[in-house]
Formats: sequence, C-alpha cells, structure tokens
Amino acid sequence: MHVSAVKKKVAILLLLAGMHAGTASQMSESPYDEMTIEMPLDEELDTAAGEDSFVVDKMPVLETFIQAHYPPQLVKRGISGVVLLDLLINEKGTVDSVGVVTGVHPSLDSNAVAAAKQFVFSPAMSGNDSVAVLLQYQYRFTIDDVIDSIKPYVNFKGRFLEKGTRTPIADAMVVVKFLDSIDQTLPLPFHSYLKKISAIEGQHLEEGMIVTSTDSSGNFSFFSLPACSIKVQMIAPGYEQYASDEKITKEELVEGIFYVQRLSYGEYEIVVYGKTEEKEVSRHQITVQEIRKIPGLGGDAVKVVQAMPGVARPAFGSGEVIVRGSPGWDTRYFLDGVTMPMLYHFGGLKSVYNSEALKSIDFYPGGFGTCYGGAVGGAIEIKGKKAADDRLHLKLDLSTLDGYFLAEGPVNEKVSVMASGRRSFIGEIMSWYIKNNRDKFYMTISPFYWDYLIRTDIKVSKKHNLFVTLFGSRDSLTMLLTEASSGSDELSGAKDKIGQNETFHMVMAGWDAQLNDRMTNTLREAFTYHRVGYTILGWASSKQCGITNTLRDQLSIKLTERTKLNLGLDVELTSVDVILGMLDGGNKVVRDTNDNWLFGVAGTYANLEIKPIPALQIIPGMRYDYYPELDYDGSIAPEFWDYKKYDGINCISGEPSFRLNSRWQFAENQTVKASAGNYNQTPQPFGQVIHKRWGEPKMPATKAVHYVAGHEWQITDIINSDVQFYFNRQWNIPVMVSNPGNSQQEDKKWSRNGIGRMWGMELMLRHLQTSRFFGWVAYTLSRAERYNHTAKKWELYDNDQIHNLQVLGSWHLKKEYDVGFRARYVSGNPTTPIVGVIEHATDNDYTPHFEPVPGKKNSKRVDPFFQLDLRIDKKFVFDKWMFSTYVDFQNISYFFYKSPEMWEYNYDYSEKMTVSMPPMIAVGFKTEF
Amino acid sequence: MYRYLIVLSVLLVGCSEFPTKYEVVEKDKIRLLDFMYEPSDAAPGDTVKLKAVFAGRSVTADMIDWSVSYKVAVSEYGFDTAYEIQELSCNPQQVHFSDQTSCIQILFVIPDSIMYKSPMLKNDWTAGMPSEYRALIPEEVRNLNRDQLLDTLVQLASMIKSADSEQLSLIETILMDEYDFSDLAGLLQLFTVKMKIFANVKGSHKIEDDYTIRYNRVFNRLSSVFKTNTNPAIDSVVLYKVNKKGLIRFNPTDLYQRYKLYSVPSDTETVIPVDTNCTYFIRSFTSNIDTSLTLEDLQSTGQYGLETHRRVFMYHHDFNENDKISSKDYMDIFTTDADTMAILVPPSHPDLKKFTLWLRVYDEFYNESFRKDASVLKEYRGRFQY
Repeated sequence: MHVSAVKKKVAILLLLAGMHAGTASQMSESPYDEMTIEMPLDEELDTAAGEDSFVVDKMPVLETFIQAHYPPQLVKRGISGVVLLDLLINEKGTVDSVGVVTGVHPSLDSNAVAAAKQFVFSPAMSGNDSVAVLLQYQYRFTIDDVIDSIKPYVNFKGRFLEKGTRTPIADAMVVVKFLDSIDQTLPLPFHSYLKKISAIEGQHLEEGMIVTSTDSSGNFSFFSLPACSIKVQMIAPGYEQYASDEKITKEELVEGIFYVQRLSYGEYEIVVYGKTEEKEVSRHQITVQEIRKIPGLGGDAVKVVQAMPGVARPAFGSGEVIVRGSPGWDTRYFLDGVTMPMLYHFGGLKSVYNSEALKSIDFYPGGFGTCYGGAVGGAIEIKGKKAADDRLHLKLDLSTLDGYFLAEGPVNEKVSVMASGRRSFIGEIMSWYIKNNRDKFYMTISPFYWDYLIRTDIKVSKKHNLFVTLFGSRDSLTMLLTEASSGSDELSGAKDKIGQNETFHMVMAGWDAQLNDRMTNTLREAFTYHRVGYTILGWASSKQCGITNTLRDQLSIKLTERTKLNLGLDVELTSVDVILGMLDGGNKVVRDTNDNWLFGVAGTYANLEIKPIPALQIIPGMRYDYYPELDYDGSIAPEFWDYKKYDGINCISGEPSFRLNSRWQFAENQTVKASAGNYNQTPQPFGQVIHKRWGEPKMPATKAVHYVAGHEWQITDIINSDVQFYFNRQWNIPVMVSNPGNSQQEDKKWSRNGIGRMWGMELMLRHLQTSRFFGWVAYTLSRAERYNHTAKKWELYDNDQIHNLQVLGSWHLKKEYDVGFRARYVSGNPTTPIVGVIEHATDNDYTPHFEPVPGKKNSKRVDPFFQLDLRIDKKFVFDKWMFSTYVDFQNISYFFYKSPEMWEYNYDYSEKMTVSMPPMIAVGFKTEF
Repeated sequence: MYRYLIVLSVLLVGCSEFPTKYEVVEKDKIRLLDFMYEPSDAAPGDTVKLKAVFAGRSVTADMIDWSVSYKVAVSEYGFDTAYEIQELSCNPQQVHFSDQTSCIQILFVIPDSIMYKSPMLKNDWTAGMPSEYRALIPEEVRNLNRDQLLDTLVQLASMIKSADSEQLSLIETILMDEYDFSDLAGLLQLFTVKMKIFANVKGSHKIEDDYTIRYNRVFNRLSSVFKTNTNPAIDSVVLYKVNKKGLIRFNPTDLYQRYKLYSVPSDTETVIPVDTNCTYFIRSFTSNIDTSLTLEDLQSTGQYGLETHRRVFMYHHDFNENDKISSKDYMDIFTTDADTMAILVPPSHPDLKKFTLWLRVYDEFYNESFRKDASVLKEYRGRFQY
C-alpha cells in the first residue's frame, strides 16, 4: 500500500478509532489508560472519502488491559500525566507496534509502551472482514488513586481556654503550620496530600497551612494531619496570639488543652458603643465592670453611687446617699425590686450585697417613673447577676476588712447556682491593736459582720425564667468602755456597754415571663426577717423584730407598635414587735412596747409608653400609695403644691401621684428630656414622728414634687454627656418643735410644717469603657434649703453643698496593671457657728460641762473638701487560675490638704480644731478561676 | 447610730489632743469647781444656801448676776426650757473656801407657788403614766386634778412643817390608816419640779444649774420612808504607789502586789515621790450614801437602793512653774466611774512640782424623777519629789 494511501486510510480511521478507543477506555479498569483522538481536519475527511477506502463498521475493543508500572518514587514525586501512544492494531486485535506521540517521563513512556504492546483488542471490522487499524491511545498516569486511598481520621484535637478563667474560647481560628520535618513516608507529594486533607469538612488550606476554628466549647479537631512537627497557632479577637509546637506521629491521636492569655484582664472587656434605650429622664446606669476598680471605694460597687452627680458627699464613715439635698432616708434601695433592709455594713463600710454578684446598679436621683414609690428623694436599684451557667467559677477574696468566697456554676442544663459568704475580721484586727495599745484606749471595740447569698436560676423555658435568692446579713458592734459605767440596771445588765446589732434574712423568688408576643410579666415575692437591737450603756435599749412581705408585679402589654401599657402592684408590709426603754429627762425609765405594728406601703401603678414618632417618647403614669401606719386624711388628687382645700375630707392614709417622663431625640446623637411628677413617703425619722408618745400620731405623708429637664449628647462613640436641671420641693416634712411650756396643754413634739426646696444642675461627662480606659467627670451645682417659719425665710439645709466635682479615671496598662484615680472637690457643709457657751454647774451623764450657744443656723461653712484617691491593681494570670492584688490609697491629699470633716472644740469651746479623715490604705487579695 | 460609733472610734484614733482639757484649771480662766446646795433636797418655802466655788481667775461677788426660772418645762426627751427668767434675790457674799479658790455664797427662798406654776405638772397629771404606776395611786387621789392634789399636799406639808413631835405622830397615824407610805413616796416623785438658777459671770460666761423641788424633806419629818437626798461627804483620800509601771487597775487586797500607801490630808501638803517604775492610784472614801425607792422598785421588789458616788478630779500645777512647759507634760488623773480608784500620772517634766487638786463627789440615783445630784468639794495640795 502506498504510503500516502495508507496515511489517508489511517487518517480516516483516526476518527473512527478515536470513537473506538474511547469505548476501550471505558472498558478499561485502569485509571491510567485512556484512548483519545485528535479531531481530523475537515478537508482531510473530504479527501479520504473519494479514495479506495473502506468503512470500519466496528471499532477495536480493548479486551485485555495491562497495567503499566507506575514507579512509587515517581508517584511520591507527583510525576503524572498522559502518554499519547500510536497503536497499530492488526486484524487479530493484537498490537503490532506502539509509538510514543507525547511523553511524560522516560520511565512512564517506556512502561506505557510495554504495557500497550500487551493489550488485546477485538479486531476492527469492515463488513465481515477484520481489518488493521491505527489508533491513538492516551495512557494516563495519575496519583488520584493514592489520594483517594487517604481516609479522614482525627489525629490532632484540643481545646482552647482562656488563661486564668478557663473560659472556652469560641470561634477562634486555629492554624496548623507544617515545619520542615515532613513525613517521608507519605506516598505522594506533600502539597497533594495537603490539598487532599484540606477538602475534609471543617478544615481548609490557606497559604500552605491547615485552618479550622473552635466550637462554642473551645474545642477543635484536625483530620489526617501528616506525621511531622507542626506549629499550632490560635487567633481570636481580644486574645494574644497563641503559638506552640507539637509533634504529630503516625497513627496516634495527639490531644491538648491550650491556655491563652486575654489581651486585657481589666474590667473593661465589655466595650459598649451607643446606649440602651432609655425610658427615665434621670437614670444613671452603671455596669459592674466599670466600677470595681474606682479608687476610694474599696472595690465596693454599691458605693459608686456616691461618685454620681446629684449625690452629696456624706460624712466620713457614713454610707448615706444624700440625693439632691434630701436626707438619706428619702431614698429607697431595692434589690431586684425588693427593699433592702440595709445597704451597707456599719452604715457605709461595705455593701451587704456582694459586688461580685451584681449585674448593674440603676440610680435615679429624682424624677423617676411610677414603678417606684414611697420615696421623695431618689431610688437605687441593685440588679443581681444570674448565676453563671457555663462552668464552675470560684472567687476568694481577702482584704483588710473581710474575706469572702463566691462560687457559681451550672447544676444541669436548666439550673445554675451562685453562693457567696463573707465574714469580717476587722474586729479581730482592732482587738489586737487595742490589746497592744491599752494605754491609749479606754474601751474595747468589737465590730463584726457577715453576709451570705445563695441564688438559684432556673430556665424553665425560652420564655420563662425563675430565680430564688436567699440573702442575709448581720452587723454587730460592741464597745466596752472600761472607764465608764452609767445608767440604769433595768435597761442594761452591762452599763459599760454600747452595743448594736442588726440581722436580716431574705428569701425572694422572681419570675420573668414572656406570656405571648405582646405581654410580659415580672413577678417578685419576698419575705424578709429583720431584727435590730441596741443598748447604750444603761441609758437606753431597744429591740425590734419584724417580718416584711413584699409583692411586686408588673404586667407589660404591647398595645401597638408604638404603645405599651405597664400595670404594676407594689406592696410591702411589715409586722414588727418593738420594745424600747430609755431614761427620760428625770432619770426615769420609760418603756414602750408595740406588738404586731403594721407598716409599709401598698402601691399600685399604671403607665403608658407612647411613641407618637420614633424619636419621641412620652410616658404618663399614675400611682397610688397607701401607708397603713399613718392615720390622717390622705389626698384625693395628686398634690403638686401644698394645697389645703381638700383638708378634712375623710380619706384613707394614702397619696396619689402623677408622673410624666418624656424624651425627644431631635438629632442622631442628641436627646432632650423632661419630667414632672409628685412623690410621697412615710414621714421620717420612721416610727418616731408618729409615735403616740414621742411623736405626732396624725402626721401625714411627706410629699414632694420633682421637675427635671435635661440634654443628652453622644459626642463620640465612647464619650457622652448628660446635663440635667432640677427643682424639687418638699412639704409636710416632720420637724421637731420645742416645748411650749404650757402646763395645761399636751406637749407637741413634732410638727408637719417642714418645707424644703432644692434645685441645681448636674453634668455627667462620661468616657465609656474601652479596652484601656474609662472615666467620668461629674459636677453638681446645687442648693438645698429649709423654710424657717419663725424667721419667715429660707435657710440653708444641712446637706447643702454648692459645688461637687468628681473626676475619676482608670487605665489598664500592660502586664495586667491597672491604675486609677479619683479626685473630689466639694464645698464645705453649712455649719452653725458657736457664739457663746453655757456652763452647767452639775455635770452628770447627761449634761455636758459646757454647752455651746449656737448662732444663726447654718450661717457658716466649713472649708472646702478635697480628696484624692489612688488605686493600683495587679493581676497574675496562671493557666487555671488568677491572683490579683490591689492597694487603694485613700485620701492621699491629706499630706498637702487636710480636708475638714467637722470642727472639734475643746471642753469650753474656746479652741477649735478641724477634724480630717486620715489617709488610709486598703489592701486586698483575690484568687479566682 | 452605729455608724456614728464607728466614726467616733476612728476619730478618737485619728485626732490630736487639745492643749487644754476640763480637768486642768487654767490660770486666766474662771473655772467653776462646784455649786454646793444646802439643803440639796428642798421643798417649796425652804431657804437654800448655795456656795459657788471657783478656781483659776478670781471671782468676786459683784461679778455675778444671779437669775432664776421657776417655770421649767421638760420634754419627753429630757430637753428642758426655762421660762420667765427673773432676777434672783439672794444676797451674794464672798466667803472663804480655800486660798486657791473664790467662793460666793447666796441665800434664796423657794416660792410656795413653784409647783402650781411649773409646766412639768400637767392638769391631767396621770395622763401618759404607765398603767402599773397609776394602779399604785389610791383611787381618791387619782381622781383629784393637779391643783386639788397640790392643795392637799401644801396643806399637809404645812401641817407637818409646823407640827411638834406629838402632832407628827398623830398625823402619821391618821395617814397610815389610809395610805401606804411607800405609795405616797412614789406619789411625791410624780410631784417633783425643776427650777433653774443662772449665774452670769461678767467678762466670762454664763453658768446654769438645775435644782429640784419636792416635798420629800418635809415628809421625812413624818417618816423615814420618805427619803431625802443629802450631800455626800469625803472622809479621806489615800494614794497607792504600786511597784509596777503601766498598771490600769489595782486591788490593794492583792497580796502579791507590793505598794506603799500615802495619806492625802486636805489641810497639809502631800509629798509624792516620783518613781517611773511605779503606778500611782488615788482613792477616795466617802459617806452619806443615801437610799431611795424608785417607782419601778416600788411595784417590783420593794427594795431600797443605794445611790452611787461619782468622782471628778480637777487640778492645776503651780502657775509659776508651768508657765513655759507643754501641757502634755502635766500630771494627769484618769477617773473610772465604776471604781473608786483613779490613776494618777505624775508630770513628765521635773520642774513641775507643786499642784493643787480638787475632788468633787456627787451622787446619782437612777430612775428617781429629776433627782438633784448633790455634791461636795474638797481641796488638796501636794508636791512631786523627783
């Protein structure tokens, strides 16, 4: 056959053989061989059709495939590809000759040829004749089989936990970087292997590294990692980058727990941008994270209220919260809506509710809504923290005053529990000091306190949450005056003792329910047992023991998208037994007992949250409070001034209130707000002023009206300001009156005629928490006055402090150091000057030798008060726990300015001395995990 | 209350001391040492002698304006207010008490009408009285109003005052047939009023004192059941020099404690050898310890109680010696109300040698209505020997 003719013939067959070869390829069991065909040119086909060609009816079919040898060293090197062969298949179907058209590697080419020569085809058929054909065959050498043979299995897993706290680090990126000691036994190239294992679900390849992420428990797993040395890296926001070297060995599971340092262990980890939706005009909300490290507060979160605008500086050692010029008893304290019997141990030393168990503190200096009653000053609500449900947490704390523990954690999926206990040892320290300095002391002092808290949270369902809090405290103070003993044996068996104790136990249950899409309900029920007793030498003794039942419920109904109705019940009733004995002016023991005395407040309220436009919120509300202990004709309409026209109408001893709060966000970052409302409370000092013997039994409730206007400005994401102007007026304030000296009339001891007014401006410029800093500037300009009916003019009230400026800041530094400062400048308190002296010729237990003759009331001021506090915290973070310590330097300004607390006089008032708070150092240690 | 105690205790630790204190008499100040009344328990119509003894700057009779209020109101809390303050007709005279003191003596008469005027006695005088007290009062007495009862008391007192012994026995017999004297004694406590005496010392200050008026002294003539309050008497003063320093208590009966006893007479100078290794205790012995019966005692045990004698020491060093010496170096005396023993701390400066010391003893008896603290004063002189 002529070559050209053969060429043409074969050329035609190329087309047909290609089809045939494809079929053969499909029959092949080997992935390494494949017949392919190049498409012939159209002109060639046209030409061939005119020659002596024959038509192949049946293409050769590969019947015996021979596997070409694929040398492992080439597989390992990843050398693969397609060897294109020309096969001349004779009429018998065997391969006569093989030619390499395109090669891959000499070994593979020759192996492919050797294998192809042994192929057996069914011969090509043209009609009934078998014919020889030439076809091209692609012999493919591929490593896919090796790759497919790799099965996924976990050979490296672990858990990332936060160093110190053992908190799981969720959603962290975990990266495995392969070091140089790559596994030499891998049957295929490393990059091919990586490519293969990166396709396993849960991990992927990124720049030559295998990457996965942690789940919510901080767990991670890697599949089928090659045996080699790796570097494990963890990257998560808020944490230092973690890296460690690990060795993956063949067919062994490597496990590990990795502790990662948080970037900051300060209390600033929660970065708050923007604000939550506000309803109240005057509310200041303080998160616990902000305040634990404010200098001068000894780590006590509740005391931070004293650093807020509108709160006057209390006397040294007093935790009294003097809100907008009102006395401390005008402000009520709540724990989750239930009145706390006492806020502080020893009147200001430490708050009775453990700061670690707090979620937040809401402080209302005035103008608060209808959900709070029975107070004409302010309201403070402490919100308890839910028990942690992620893991067990334990904190142990020792300071110069006391020590406490707090443990919390889940019991099961639905129940978590928190428990804390605290005990003071200041008494032991003082006793030790006094014992070693007997010559300086003529008394022994034994202060002692403890408190406890057990809170159980139950997640009943997604829409229902329950909690039960058991909370109690005891304060006990005994002073034995070694050089004094006086009074009556009837009142005290120990006439040299001044003692006081106060104990309470409270059990509270709370139920927060989402009743349906439009209704929510908040219920609180509490029983509080409260016992107070005191003895003052042989002069006076008292015991009070009572049980308080508190029921608070608020039902909120979303009427429309822009209207919400809140209906509430607020009942707090106490039944108390009182035993009081005291020496009267004639050294005669006077006793008073009162069994099952019922007092408290029963209130109900309703308010409507209306948003006529999204930027405007108006909340009108009504409230009615009934005081069972009072016996007077209450008002029938809310009193916004001291109106008299309804006097004498027989009404129960209660008071209605109307309050209106409104806020208008007139710009994206600015809001104006205003409120007006009237308020009332049982007259104070409680019990005494309505006592049938020492008080005025017909004393009415004390009333007040608050007007507040203000402006809020979110200056930047983290800086905001709040300016408020207020005017408060109070009337029916009990005032003690002097004896009229009329022998034919019963002495009147208390009058209802007291009138007070307070007004001022408050500024709060606040830098919110960031990772490194928080702080604020609080300034109050205020005036508090009482009306003098005798002089017929207004006089300064005792709590008047014109200027009150507080600046504080706290920085989180490297190596877990925190430093903070607090500076306070406060105008001196008004004081009444002493213009003369009267000497009492008879000096006994009651009469001082010299009695001062007061001048015009509050006509002088003591010098301004300035105090600077510093605090340094240092935290040591270990894998499984943390240890922190702090030093709180209080009043270090003493060394350059002695702020006056009061004036002290010598025995005959001829010499005066300024009494200052001494500088103090508080040291504390805390261990936690 | 407790927070003030905390504040107090902290301030006690934190405060520095004033250079002056009540116990130390200052040269340039008028210091009242005592108002001594005779009798200390007076009834309406009685004439009372009052001796006002001063130390420090000298006082003369014409330096003092005396005034009085017979109308004193006392509130439930014990606060009193004086009304209708008037000049006191009292014939002030300078009398001798000691070389180191000035003594002004006055005489005045308690008006018969004082109880009628006093706002302390209400018309409904049993109002507010505990029921158990009220039950002690005979019904026919309880039904009398204030003035009716006062009329009865005045008439009875007048009879007792003027009665001879025979008449007294007769009155006593008649009364005992009708009443329990103890109950009547209790009734007298309810009819006790206060008056106030004011001494305005020109160029210095005003002094005020309470005086108690009741009928006990009159009724005491009738029966000893009606107790009277008399001034205490200081019998003697002694000094213990105990051979151990730094003691805060001392019991002379303790056989293992070595000490030396010094008598401290009031008429001669006592020499006290100073030894820094010793502790000094000063002790006074008093008499005229009265008894009384409170309303509570009356309705419970019926037992009479003894009054308590309290002691106040005042002193000064020789004014020529202490001129340039810090008051911190002065002698000191720590009294203990519960004990008759006081600690005497000798001066820490050897130039301070001579001293004058006054001991004022007054009595106390709790639960007797508006009982006057009767008192007595004595002066002692001494010298520290270094």
